[in-house]
Amino acid sequence: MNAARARALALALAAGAAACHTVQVDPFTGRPERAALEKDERKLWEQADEFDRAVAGSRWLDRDEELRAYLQGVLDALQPAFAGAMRVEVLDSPVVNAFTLPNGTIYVHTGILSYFGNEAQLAALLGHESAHFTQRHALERRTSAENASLFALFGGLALPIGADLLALSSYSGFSQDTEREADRLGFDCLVRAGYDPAEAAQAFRRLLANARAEGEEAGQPFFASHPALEERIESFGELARTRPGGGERGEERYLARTALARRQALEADLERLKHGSVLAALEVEDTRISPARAAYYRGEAYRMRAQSGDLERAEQAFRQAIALDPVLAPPERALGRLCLRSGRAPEAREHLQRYLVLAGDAPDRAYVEAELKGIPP
Amino acid sequence: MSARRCATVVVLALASCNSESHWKRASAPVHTSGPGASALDVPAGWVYTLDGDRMFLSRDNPAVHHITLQLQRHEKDDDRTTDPAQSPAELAEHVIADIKSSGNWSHVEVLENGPATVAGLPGCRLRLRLDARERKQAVTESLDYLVGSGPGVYQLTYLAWTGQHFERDLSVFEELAKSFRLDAAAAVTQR
Repeated sequence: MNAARARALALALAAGAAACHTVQVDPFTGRPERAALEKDERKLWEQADEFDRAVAGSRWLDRDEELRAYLQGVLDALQPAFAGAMRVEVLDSPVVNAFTLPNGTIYVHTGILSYFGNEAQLAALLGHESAHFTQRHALERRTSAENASLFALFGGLALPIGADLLALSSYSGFSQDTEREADRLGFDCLVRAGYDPAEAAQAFRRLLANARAEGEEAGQPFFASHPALEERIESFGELARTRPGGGERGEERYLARTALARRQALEADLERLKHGSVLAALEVEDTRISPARAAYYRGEAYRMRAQSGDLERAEQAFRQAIALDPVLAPPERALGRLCLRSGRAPEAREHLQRYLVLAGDAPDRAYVEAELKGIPP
Repeated sequence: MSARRCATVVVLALASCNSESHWKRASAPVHTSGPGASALDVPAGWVYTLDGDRMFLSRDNPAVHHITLQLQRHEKDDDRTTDPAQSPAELAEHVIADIKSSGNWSHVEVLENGPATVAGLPGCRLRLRLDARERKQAVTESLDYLVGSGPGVYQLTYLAWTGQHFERDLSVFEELAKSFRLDAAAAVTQR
């Protein structure tokens, strides 16, 4: 039995056992064109399996098995009837995105994890994505031509996978009504699993903060086909008001299990000079990034943005970082360069020299030495 | 130069191969003008073209190896614009950000990043190893000389498949980089 068939059988069994979870659409009955859909679906699953194999053989896949297992556990708690039929994979990418394939594989980019503050918010995302699978939304395109054209991009994999993968991950074929249905069903899953209903709206507030900070909501793959974030936040708020308050948030657990991935995504954003994303991500209170390092990151984001008043904000943040941790080297270098830029040579020299002492054999030592040499006596 | 920009340069270069007037072959070393009041020596046997702020050079196969000289003007529309007050280290930071943002590389390893004198001015030398997301693709290596001056940042890039392809023309590129000059009007020391 090949993987697609095995998973199809698992899904059939799970769906049968979980009819109450899929009251909107019975996955295998109630459609007049059932035979055609099954054929379409089989084809889609095979293409999705092929895609999974291609990703597994690429460098996109995050190899942190503990992180993957954690996300899988949250998903299985949300969709217990489909445990074993759906799989979470983590993509090593700072892009803020997640998407579901017709075969039940949910891909979560590490970038999106930076914006959530607790497990309940992650559950809101996974609940939404899992609903696309349980409701077989991929089949709503009827002809699989659109899907096929997307998967065909990966057939040979002779070209860099990046742009194509992002094109697929936008999954722009779903209608806004379909996305709303996934929101609603995902919310039901979240409540059934015992999470705090108010956190669903909060998850999307986090994403909205990022989209606003970057000023590119329209260009963000995850938001391309989804109803306006404000509308979704409002809708989740209304849904939450119909349920008793409280429930699990899982903040400590989430921050601990995702700490490495979130820090790496943050540093990747800094390296790409994505100052807006960094500032939005730092809104999450996180004891695992030291306050000094968070202040330094914030300062760097302001320095990179360099809008009116930002260099002053950056300087303030660097000074705060130094005050919080006097042996943290990078803020000394950053402050030295800001001083140099504004013509405060003696202070620049002091901070750059201090950086060299603290940083030891830093890879950028030659740069700093050259900068020191260029400072007039 | 980002991979996307690099690909654009290659496509433009290949597309314009039909137009003989845009391309010249240096039968002997030739001193010629580059973008933004710059000049350099083109090695013998190489073909080259100048298109606005970009100059493109290759000897035999642009997909395997090529050299570009670009003037990246300070005033750009995106978030990552440079400014005349930036140090060579910050210019290198911009190039790395550009490449990492392209999404084409799974891993960008900085092999070398340090100060260098470029066209007689303080600049930097940046050597990178670029691993494609797709394992079947060849690993690429690049060497950049950057200098901020006058209207923007001059970026001289050598890009080739790693290994013998990269090593083969490395010394040619180094000589070309040494020949790179800015006219007095463009040669303004940036911080």
